[in-house]
Amino acid sequence: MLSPDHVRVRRQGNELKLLALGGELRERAVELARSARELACEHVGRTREELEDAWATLEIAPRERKLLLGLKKLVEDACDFEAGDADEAASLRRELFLNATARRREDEGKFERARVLAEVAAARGTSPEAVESMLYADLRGAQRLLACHAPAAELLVESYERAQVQAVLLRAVRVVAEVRCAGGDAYRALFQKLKFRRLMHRVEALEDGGYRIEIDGPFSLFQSVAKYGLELALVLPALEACASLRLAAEVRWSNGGRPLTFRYEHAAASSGGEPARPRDEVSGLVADVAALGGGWTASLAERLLDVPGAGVCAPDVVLRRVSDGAEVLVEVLGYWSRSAVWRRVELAQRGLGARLLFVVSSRLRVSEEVLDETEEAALYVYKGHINARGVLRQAEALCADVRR
Amino acid sequence: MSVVLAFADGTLEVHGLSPSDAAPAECRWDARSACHRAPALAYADVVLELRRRKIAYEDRARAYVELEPKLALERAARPFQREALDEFRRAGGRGVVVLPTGAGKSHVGVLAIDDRRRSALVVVPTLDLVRQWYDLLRTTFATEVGIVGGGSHELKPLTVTTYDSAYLHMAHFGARFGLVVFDECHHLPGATYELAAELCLAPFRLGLTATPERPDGREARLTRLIGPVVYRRDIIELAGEYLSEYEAVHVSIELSAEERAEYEEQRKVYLDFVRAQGIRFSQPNGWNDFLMRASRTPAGLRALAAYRRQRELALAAGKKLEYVELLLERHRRDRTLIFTEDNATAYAVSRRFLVPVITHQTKVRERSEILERFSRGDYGVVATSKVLNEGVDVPEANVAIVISGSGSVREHVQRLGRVLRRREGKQAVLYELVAAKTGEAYTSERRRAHSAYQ
Repeated sequence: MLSPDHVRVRRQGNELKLLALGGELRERAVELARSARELACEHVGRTREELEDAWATLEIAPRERKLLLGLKKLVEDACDFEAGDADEAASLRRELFLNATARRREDEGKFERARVLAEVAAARGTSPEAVESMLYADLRGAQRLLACHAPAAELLVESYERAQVQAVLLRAVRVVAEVRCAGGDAYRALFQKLKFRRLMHRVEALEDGGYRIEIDGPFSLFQSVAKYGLELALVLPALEACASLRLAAEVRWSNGGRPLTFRYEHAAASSGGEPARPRDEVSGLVADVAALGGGWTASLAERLLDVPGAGVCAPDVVLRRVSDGAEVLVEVLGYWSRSAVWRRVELAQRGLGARLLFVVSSRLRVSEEVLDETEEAALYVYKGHINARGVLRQAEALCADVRR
Repeated sequence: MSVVLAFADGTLEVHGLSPSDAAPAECRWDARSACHRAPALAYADVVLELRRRKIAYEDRARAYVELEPKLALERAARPFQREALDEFRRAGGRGVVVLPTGAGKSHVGVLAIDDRRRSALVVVPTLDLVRQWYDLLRTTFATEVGIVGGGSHELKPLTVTTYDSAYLHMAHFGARFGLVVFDECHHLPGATYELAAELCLAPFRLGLTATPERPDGREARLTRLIGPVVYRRDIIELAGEYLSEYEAVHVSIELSAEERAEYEEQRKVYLDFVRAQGIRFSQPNGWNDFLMRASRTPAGLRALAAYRRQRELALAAGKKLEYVELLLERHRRDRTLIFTEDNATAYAVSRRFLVPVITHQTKVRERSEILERFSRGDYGVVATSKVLNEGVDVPEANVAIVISGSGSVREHVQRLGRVLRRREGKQAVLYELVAAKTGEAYTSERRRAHSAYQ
């Protein structure tokens, strides 16, 4: 990961903007990436310090300094280094320094450095020069470069551009993301990531069908702190996995400086990625309901149900009754996690504000009765494959319950 | 529904009150989680307020335990240490104790842990101090002690950690300690470290320092984060009786003719740029202004390189090392600490005089061995850059040689403190080597602005 020191930005009013790498500068970036990579490949077998000295000879204009720093970091991250034998070096130091201490105390005249080195070298059957060179062979600068796996220069520059966004977020105190996902799976993955990173959120539905998610940490209620910057940066890939993302981050770019806004947009399709496809059992349920041709239609859900303090539910399918338009949302929990079922039960008991049907495999050993007392939610437990008729039967029952 | 307190990632959640209910001070309604929330620091105040208002509550936040009573190793407290503890008690178990280095601040910490008898966390700035506190707590309380930092992550009712680790992990373990001791607590009020105190629930807090004052004036924050200064004694009040007698020797070193010529040349490049740009170092943002302007143009980059070179020439002047050689001959049977501003000079000293060096790159095991051998007398000299500036207990050291340093008064006082721990008949001496007629002379004047050097 790059750090904020590697990022090329400019301030414009209250906004922080990444500087585009276009035209001649892009060509220059590729040239620098090629040089940094070639020098690393040429230095295989030599020390990290020698590689850094070689990189320091690359002549750059002031405006290219951060670009080169970032590219070097990416090349360095793709290198394997071997550390010297720390125990051996420490043992040599001990022997040498003990001998030197004794000599300094015993000899009344001037301390004879060469004599101490010669004595220790003789005891080890080596030369004084070898003793000197091995003395700090375990330090970082003395690590030996074994291999360089950095990609081609053009790819390095592309990686640099992508990594800059994450590096900016390291200084973020709060992120507001407007996202639209193709289905419940993508939303669930996103909120699982937020939970894993111990971040907090506020969710608001947008008119176009997407969601506005404000993300920060527990302490952000009292003070804008950059403590959650690393977590916010690590959430970026999950946000980018949404079909579309529009992000605005509040960043503290300099110590004591005023907060700045950083904006970033990303679409899975435009970056060559494809929106995540629904799981087979979800698309199978939609197809089966359609095949029944009865009083219900089914479509993929793009809806989130947020219960502050309890969690978020991201249904997979919307069932709509043709006769009156009544809706039942379906989340297919399958057979993976029993604890996930209990979390949904708790959510339903807190009140989700919509009719919810959780579809669960019998392998999770959960009974449909656990939600009997809850008007707006129900469980449908299936054996083997999901039976669309059974799902619709439960949906009908839910609608009847609510009407009662 | 009764009120429930819960610790959540360094904050205190207060469940069971509606948004319109009058919540305890420092609590705010948090729509994200549908409950009131306060910084964990406010735990004691929230509990006291709920009790005062006779509101029943269930405390699921507090996760600290009571320690087994009694010290295993009793060491008589000096009168001023006992006074410090009394003042800490009088302040309700929250406060900062200011004592000079070598006077026994750590023992005040031990007395406070024994007095409060709650699981306690000691927060220190360096791994050397982690090791030192670990040994002290283990022998004093005859119990296992946890360490968080330097590759270890083991929590026990008595645990030692670094400020860095406390900042990173307090949100997870901040409810497990009833007392937190911030050693060298002048580090705490930085923009990041102070979160370690905000995210910790401990109702009892003790700060220990020799020099609470900070150049940025943020020491005022210590009152909120720990408590007020409850006790203070200065070096000159304790020298002789509780600290070693000492002498501070200022040595002016001339640059060689070649060094002088290069120094003047590089300094001119640097100063010409500063003047041409109208940069004023007397302004609070002067240095940042220089760095920003220097990074924009080739002339600026040359000025920055020239600044670094002239500084390097002053800090590591050849004749300084020749003088160090003389001092090491003079003090061949003493225990000497050599301080430098940067790691490169520390390693250069180590190579030239064949003495062990401790920097941030030195692994914990080797650091411990070097300090142990230094205490036993196997080694007579240890070189270091900044990592031994603070807190590390090397009572046998009686000579300090400062080859180079920053303009910080605190750093210079702390370095003197390394040789002040009292031993019978000990006379400490600190040599400060300063390159004559260079910018370093001004730096030296700034760092000696303390009563200890008057």
